[in-house]
Amino acid sequence: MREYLLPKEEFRTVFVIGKGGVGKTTTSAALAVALAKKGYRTLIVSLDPAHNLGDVFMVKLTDKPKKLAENLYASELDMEKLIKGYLKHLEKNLKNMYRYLTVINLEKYFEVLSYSPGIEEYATLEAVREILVSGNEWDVIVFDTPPTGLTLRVLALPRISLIWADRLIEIRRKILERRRAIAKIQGEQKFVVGGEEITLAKEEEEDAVMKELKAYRSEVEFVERVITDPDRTSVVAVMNPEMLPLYETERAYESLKKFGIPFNLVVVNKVITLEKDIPELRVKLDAQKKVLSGIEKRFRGIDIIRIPMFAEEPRGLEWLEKLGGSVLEG
Amino acid sequence: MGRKIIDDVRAFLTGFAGSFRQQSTEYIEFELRELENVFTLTLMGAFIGIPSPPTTLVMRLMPHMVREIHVMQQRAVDLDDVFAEVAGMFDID
Repeated sequence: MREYLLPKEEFRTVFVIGKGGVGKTTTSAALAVALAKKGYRTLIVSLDPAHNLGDVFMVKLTDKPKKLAENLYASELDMEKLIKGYLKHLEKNLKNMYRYLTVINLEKYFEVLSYSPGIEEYATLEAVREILVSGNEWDVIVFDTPPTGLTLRVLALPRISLIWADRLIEIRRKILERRRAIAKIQGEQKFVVGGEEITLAKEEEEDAVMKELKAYRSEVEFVERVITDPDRTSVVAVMNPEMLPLYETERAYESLKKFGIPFNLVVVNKVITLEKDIPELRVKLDAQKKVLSGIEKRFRGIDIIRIPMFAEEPRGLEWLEKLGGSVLEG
Repeated sequence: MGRKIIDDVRAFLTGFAGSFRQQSTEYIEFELRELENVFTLTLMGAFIGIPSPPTTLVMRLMPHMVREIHVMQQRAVDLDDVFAEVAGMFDID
């Protein structure tokens, strides 16, 4: 049994990454089924905006975990709904400060912000965080991720967000320091906007901006701690025995290493084995051979398993269990 | 009569001390405005073409930033007269 796919002290998080179309969804579904069969309470979540997890299990999934078998639950995140949820939350905040709006015309700023680049990544991160916060409900959480590019950006976000939060906290501290200095000499400072008088916050505990910054920081830090902990997180890369997926997996390996995220297993999916020689496939088989020998060299110290190309699509729980068993047991 | 003189002197001293206090915090206030302006500009980096902090964070902070946004807008309005402001602060005529 591969220890890094099983829960240790707390729940285990497994991110299944890879290029589009290599079999991420099938592999993660198979792994989840095998884990559930072993008695681990398993949740599989699809983060891919183009969902097909439901197709693999042949059921319709929603953003609420649905029980598929004993110990096996699955859900698909609804990105559009997530982003809408964001905007709604924003609208609520906007209404709270409605009386100021006419004075400084904030509406326009918010309108632009809600279409700002990267909102999908942030929404995905937020969704991952919410699942991890209630992670103790599960023994293993398997994330079926969008194609590598987006996933790497999402996994890199906590680190980047922490840097931002720290820098902004630094500036905010300087602002509050100055406000305190002024208040010592001049007394409480007031600020009038829209006929409303506000006392300027000068202590960290009473400053809403600082409180929000610190809350955000601790939320992101939690995700960062979980995904960089080898006892809690594992990344499984799925690839096909072709050059391009190999390059992409290599790049993913390098970036994950940079962010300190544990990368444990490469699943080489759809390896073609032929009993008799077919001249039309000879070029492909040669290329496959080259890639397979290359993998061993490039990913030293990392588990590599080969899954053959099956005569039929691995669908349905039985098939998935068999496939997942070979990923889990080695 | 004597009482009036004392009152006048007191009023004078209060005014004198007040203006002194005002002057003493002038630099800090200027610095504070600049910092508030920078803080807001950083959050709104997208508007001026610099990388923005995480959108989530910006959205969460914005509702509390009424004062800072006001300062930023005021800075933009006064932008053509920054030199005069600094000159005024250092008593350069």
